[in-house]
Amino acid sequence: MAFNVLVVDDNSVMRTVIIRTLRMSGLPLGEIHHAADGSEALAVLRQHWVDLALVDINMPVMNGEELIDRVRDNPEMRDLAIIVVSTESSETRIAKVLRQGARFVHKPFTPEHIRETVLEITGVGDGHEHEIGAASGGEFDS
Amino acid sequence: MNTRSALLQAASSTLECLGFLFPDEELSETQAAADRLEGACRVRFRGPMSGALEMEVFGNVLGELAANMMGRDGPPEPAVCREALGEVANVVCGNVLPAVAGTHAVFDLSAPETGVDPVLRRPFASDTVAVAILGLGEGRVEIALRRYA
Repeated sequence: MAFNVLVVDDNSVMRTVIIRTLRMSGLPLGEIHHAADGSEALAVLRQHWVDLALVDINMPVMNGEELIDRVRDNPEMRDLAIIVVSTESSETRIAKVLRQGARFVHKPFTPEHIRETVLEITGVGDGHEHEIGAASGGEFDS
Repeated sequence: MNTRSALLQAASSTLECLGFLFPDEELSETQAAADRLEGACRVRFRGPMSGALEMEVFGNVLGELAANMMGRDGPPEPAVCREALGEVANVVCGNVLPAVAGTHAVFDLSAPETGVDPVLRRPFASDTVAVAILGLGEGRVEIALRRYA
């Protein structure tokens, strides 16, 4: 199984860092989409099949919390696996994200941490993925 | 852990994980003498206390940091370098605040302000909580945590 991924962060460098880290993690990647805020992310989700979204919290236009609420309210998207990738350290805010059915990865992060969290939230076994550090075949699609 | 130690730890782990650069707490002569300011950035925060984390990079470091973050062979254009610096400052700020105020504290962080005037030329100002200086390649990074009244 290759994951179609959506990376949502208002900082383009951080989007690149996350995609690079995903590739380093050895996870099999399919299409990779990216968006600069929650509104752009919803537009991508309406047009493409996405297995996994990595979402920042603090973004202009529509933040990560609102994006997750919108996804969970949409019957066609509500089961999307979402990992919040943020500098947020408040236990209160992290607990809210977890209640929304997302996982949380704190910045900065390692490929191993991303990999473990992806495998955990997707329920995919650790048998078909490449070794850490191996290149995967994902491309930028949007 | 005191605030300076927390600042050093947050900066070191951020530079290592995001930038694949390994900072030195003891500066070499070259690092200490680097006087060309490459970039400056400020992230303001508001919560149980208000203030800002300010970061400056000296020497020939910012291009390598941004290139490493992006996975590029050469330094990206200056605007991207500034964006990379902003993200590093944002992550350091997000990691140091719970060490200062506790993990139950809720803070709102501003978007990083990059390209600001040199911000750290007043290290002994009364609002300075802690200053950390780390050697990086042939340059250094200076970080201050400020608490506004």
